[in-house]
Amino acid sequence: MRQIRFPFAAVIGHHAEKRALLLLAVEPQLRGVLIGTVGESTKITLAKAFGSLVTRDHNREWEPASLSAGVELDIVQLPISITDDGLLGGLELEQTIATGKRQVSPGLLARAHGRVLYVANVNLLEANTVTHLAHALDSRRVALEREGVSAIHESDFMFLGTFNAAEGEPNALLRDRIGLIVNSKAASSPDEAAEMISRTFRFENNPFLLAEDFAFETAEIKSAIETARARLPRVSVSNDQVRQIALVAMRLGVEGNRADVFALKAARANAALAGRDVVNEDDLIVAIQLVLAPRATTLPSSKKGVERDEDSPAQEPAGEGQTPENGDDRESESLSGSIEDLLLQAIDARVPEEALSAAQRTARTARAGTGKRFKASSSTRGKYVSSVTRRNRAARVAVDATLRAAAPFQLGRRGERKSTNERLDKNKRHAGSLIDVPACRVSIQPNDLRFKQFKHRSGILFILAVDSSGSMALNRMGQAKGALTRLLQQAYLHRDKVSLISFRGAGAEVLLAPTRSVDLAKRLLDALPAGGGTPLSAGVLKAIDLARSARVRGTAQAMLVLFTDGRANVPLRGDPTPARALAIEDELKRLGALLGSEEITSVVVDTKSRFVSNGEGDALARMLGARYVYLPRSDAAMVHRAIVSAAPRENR
Amino acid sequence: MPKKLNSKFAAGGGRETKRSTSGRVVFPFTAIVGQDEMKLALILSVIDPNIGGVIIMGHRGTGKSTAVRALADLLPPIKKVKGCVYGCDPGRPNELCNECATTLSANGHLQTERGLVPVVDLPLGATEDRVCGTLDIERALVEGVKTFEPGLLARANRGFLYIDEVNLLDDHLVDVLLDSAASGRNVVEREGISVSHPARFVLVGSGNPEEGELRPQLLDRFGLYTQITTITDLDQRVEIIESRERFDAEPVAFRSAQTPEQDQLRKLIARGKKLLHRVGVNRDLLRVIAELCVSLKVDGHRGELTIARAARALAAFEGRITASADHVERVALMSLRHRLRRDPLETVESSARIEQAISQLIPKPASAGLAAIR
Repeated sequence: MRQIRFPFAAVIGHHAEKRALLLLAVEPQLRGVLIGTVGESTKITLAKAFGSLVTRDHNREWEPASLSAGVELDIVQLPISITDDGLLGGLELEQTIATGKRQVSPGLLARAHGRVLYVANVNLLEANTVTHLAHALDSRRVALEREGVSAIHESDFMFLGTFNAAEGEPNALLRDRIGLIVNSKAASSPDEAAEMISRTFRFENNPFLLAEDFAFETAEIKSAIETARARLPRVSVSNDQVRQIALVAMRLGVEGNRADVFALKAARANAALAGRDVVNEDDLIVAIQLVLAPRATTLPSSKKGVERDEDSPAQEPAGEGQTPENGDDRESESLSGSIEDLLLQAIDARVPEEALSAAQRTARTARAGTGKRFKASSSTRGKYVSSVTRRNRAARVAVDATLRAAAPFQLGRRGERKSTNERLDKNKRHAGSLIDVPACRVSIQPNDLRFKQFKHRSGILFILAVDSSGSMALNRMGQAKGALTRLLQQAYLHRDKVSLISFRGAGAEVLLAPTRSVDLAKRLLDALPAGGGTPLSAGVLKAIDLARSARVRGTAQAMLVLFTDGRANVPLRGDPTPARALAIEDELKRLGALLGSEEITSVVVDTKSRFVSNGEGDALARMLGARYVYLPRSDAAMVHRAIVSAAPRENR
Repeated sequence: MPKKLNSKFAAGGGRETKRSTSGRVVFPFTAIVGQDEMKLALILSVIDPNIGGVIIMGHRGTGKSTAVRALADLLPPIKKVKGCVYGCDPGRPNELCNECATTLSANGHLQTERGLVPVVDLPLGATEDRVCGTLDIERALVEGVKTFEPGLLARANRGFLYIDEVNLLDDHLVDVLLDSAASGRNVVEREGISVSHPARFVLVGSGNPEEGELRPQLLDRFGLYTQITTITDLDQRVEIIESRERFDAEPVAFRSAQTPEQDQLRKLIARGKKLLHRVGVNRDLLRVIAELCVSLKVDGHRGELTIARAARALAAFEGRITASADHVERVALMSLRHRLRRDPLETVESSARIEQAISQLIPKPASAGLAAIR
């Protein structure tokens, strides 16, 4: 008996999310929904409820014909920690050995075929996983070429992903292939929240009862979806409307053409859902909200700008086409506001002699002191890339390779086995044969054993936190930018990533999320804001956050490089009392401890000139437990060298 | 399982319209809107596989992989040795695999058949053993014999090897690719197997530079580098949305509507391939090419060779028997873009530098006929 799911109709509020899910149910070619808003429990409830809404439909390519119509879609959940094997599939060992025929065990992507694939925290998925997911979404199949097996599995699924917008956006590769994105906040009222809790309790007490209570609504929604699906092919859209979509996409700086196509599909699905045969303005607005706006890279400077430019007067819902409920939210997301302040260029100032030697000194001491902590056991972590015959430390047996090694000798050994069976019984506890018991069909001997070799390619995440307050901000930013570009040049070699945080005024912001791309970095660093107070703690805290989330994604080591003149004057909790200085000092010490416990190596790059310095940078470094480098007005190459030499790298 | 897959490539004789990835209709090449440089680069690398393949870098969702997959449809059929796993070319006796070479010396001739040019996808999750080929585990288990099971490189012999998101490819796979791309052979020494077989393929890669950098050695392997960006022309953008929507609704009908254009392009490509070796590149033009590379400080000779080859292929595609300065001008950018020394602090784009050098070396009147590739 199928498990009863929380009825979709019983979910209160979350109109945007529900709308997106309904559109997906009507038009599966929208591929999926990314939800970045509601709380964790509601997301899962919605995802599960969605599965019970959508039934298989034989008219559509994406559902396998072997399953009977009218069956609720299963939900396959993808754990963030999934391995490539688990995702793509591999050799089914037991069956292969038992039958002597190669058997493929399909991965999660293949199992998700014709189902709903649900991923919580898509933004934390490892890069590998995202790439495979994106491929499956593109081709609707999985090409398996791994460890002796080669197969193609169908993999056409509806994708439901949730993420916490505060922890970062989902990978762009994935976002690009998923039609609908909901990331506007729509807080529910206390009344609504209370009702939702009470419904959850009722569901927990007796799921059948709640399902029954909403049976009518559920049936209504289901039939609405069915009707809309039937109507969809008839829904017409005018050339002008397509132009509007394209225009809005261009105004918002949406990259590529996928989103445009999704927007059209969303508009048509919305019309079908509303029981119309013709797309109207409302449909376009919904399409913009759920498809185009979340992908905006620029915002039209003003309403007028949008209207003035084009001849078609009907496109006024376009640029500013959000409904009031999420209009202001979009404002805050805008990139444009912060970029206007100041343009900074990389400045490679001349290097004074004395700074040069200072840096070299630092480099030497740094080299001596680092590295030990990070000698991670590379034979058990990372990516299983190949198998070796030699065992090193706590190596894991590569079963597949072992079997391949043993395979050619099976016939011969089978003959031998009979005659040596008795002798073996006696010797079994010795090194003779490891797995060879009479019941085992495969005879494996010690020299067949192969061990997994892992490559730990995670590299280091360099977090450059730049104090962009005050007058020297320009110089510091130039240094940081130059050092960053140089780090990136080496990034492909070490699998390193870089990230840039700027702190000024009241807080810190991530200007460049961890990346390996020179192009992206260059584009984002071209314009940087500066001026205001120095919220040093906020900058460090942001860096710790980044390091933590990078660790979840597989970049185990992080290094913080703080570019500052060492004078912090804005505490995390902004109280303007005389105790402020003490509060800041206390904060910094605690952050230092946090850096230590998170194993984040840190360096303070003091940019203040010697004449005005009074040891603030040095003091700061001590508080944070960081290495101190004094580099006033030095060039990017110097800074880069200092960073690299202090980096917690194993073998360089 | 592998049998099923091999049949996809080995089953010869069928017209190219039969090429399908198990019943799924591929978006037709000629219906791709805009992105002319990318399309030209792909066509040139079909006409002359020695150009060294194409890498397409650019924004997400701009039709990179759509174009590569559509290209498969345009490839003229080739002659293969009948029954050969590697699809050896009977016309090139010194590039045969060991089995074919043995057969040839024993019988004096090889049986041939017509077949499709393989277009093989290299999935990012592939393991090294599947790429290079390895011990056939099934035969080993059942029969107890060590046999070599060919991998993707074997399948790609004489065809195209396509890597989407090539900049995310694992380093150990890149090493393997570099090895065989350089020698045209795949040498396998693993799991007690020792085999060497022909693996000549045209490497086609695509990716988004913002996802990560490409290893310089691999980048250098690609003959042509095309850069594509999101189309900003409103009409073209509308056309893309509309044609995609029509294709999604009725793929088969959409495709057959494109048949005349597809056939026409197929003809041009086939003609180009035939004409290629008759196209002359005169010494003066070669000198211009060399000067261009010198003025841009391009290391090595791969740049010059690529331009010359690409210009010749372009001439052949357009039915000319001599390459002109115009041809050179039109292929120079894609041949050199990735070969300039890259300074991250350099503000002038490589493209701009190349264009400037071209305008200095090739007098403007020559470029008057910048015709569209069609």
